[in-house]
Amino acid sequence: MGTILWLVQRFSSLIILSYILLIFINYFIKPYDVDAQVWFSDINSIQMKIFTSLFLIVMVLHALQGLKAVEDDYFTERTIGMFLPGTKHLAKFLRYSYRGFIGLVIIVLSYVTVLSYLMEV
Amino acid sequence: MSNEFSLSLYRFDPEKDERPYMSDYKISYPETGNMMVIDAIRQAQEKDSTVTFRRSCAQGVCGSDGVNMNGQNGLACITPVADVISRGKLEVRPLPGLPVIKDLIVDMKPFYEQYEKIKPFLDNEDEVTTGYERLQSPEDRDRLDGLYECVLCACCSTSCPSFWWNPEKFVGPAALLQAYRFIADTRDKQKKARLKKLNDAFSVYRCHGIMNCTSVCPKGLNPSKAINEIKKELRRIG
Repeated sequence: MGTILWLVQRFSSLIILSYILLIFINYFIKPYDVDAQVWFSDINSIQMKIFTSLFLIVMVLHALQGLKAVEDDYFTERTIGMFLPGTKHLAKFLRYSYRGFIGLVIIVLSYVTVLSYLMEV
Repeated sequence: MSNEFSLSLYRFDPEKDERPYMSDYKISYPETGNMMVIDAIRQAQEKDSTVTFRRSCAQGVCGSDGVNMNGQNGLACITPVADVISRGKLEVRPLPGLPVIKDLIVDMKPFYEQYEKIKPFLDNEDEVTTGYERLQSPEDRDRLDGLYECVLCACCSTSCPSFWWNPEKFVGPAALLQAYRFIADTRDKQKKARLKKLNDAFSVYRCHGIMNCTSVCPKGLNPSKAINEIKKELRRIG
């Protein structure tokens, strides 16, 4: 399992990098700053929608792994007790609040992205 | 150069003290000017016999006097004061991340538990055909250089943030160096089983390549490289 997670993290970072590079390079080689229509037709093309969907999925996978590592390191009785002595009993509550916050952010972002961009409602 | 410096020692007796505190001692350099940190601690012990410190060989072989000197882990017996002193002051604290038993002595149990997990012995049930030893080519033997010399002082593992936060799950650089010492040994027959046991999100992959382990190792070993070799082997077996 460790190797699979390691590979997911590495390959997802490559996809994220290539998406960002595509947007960045296009910005310089296409007249986006003078003609917004070019931007709209590019970003709304089916290829770009597929690539954006893939980007969002791997971004979530990539971010979840990183955020889980933060949780494992810092939202524990040991770490919270070290930084704020006397509050280690709050570790569980803080851990679940942290997870809830991340879940909420993912739901809101997915909702906005799917409705306003991918499905163009 | 002044012939004296200030040695500040971490003090904590869980039976008496509510909180740890630092005690300062004026230490004189010997006439030769050369002094190891262990000699400075000994001088402090002569002034205050309650200072508690663990040592044995004083030659950098037993690995029992690992401490944190001005923020850097190392063996007190082979670290010259001149290498770690800053502005005439030297602070010596116990190895970070392990429970303190008293003053500079830490409980090594979490460290040894991880060492035990990796089964630090050759596992080979084949018959010894020569009758007296398992033979190995010089090339295969060379692969073990830089892996077997570890003295288990725990300087590396206790300088690793991943080990501080997850000492029960992350095996730590010292034990992983030993794990690779047996994975790389052609006489061992449990390579795959050893690797499979390490293939989870914590045991090896919790290493983020910070490399504190390599920079503090008093024997000049490279646990980071061994950990990367284990990761490569894990990817090879899938």
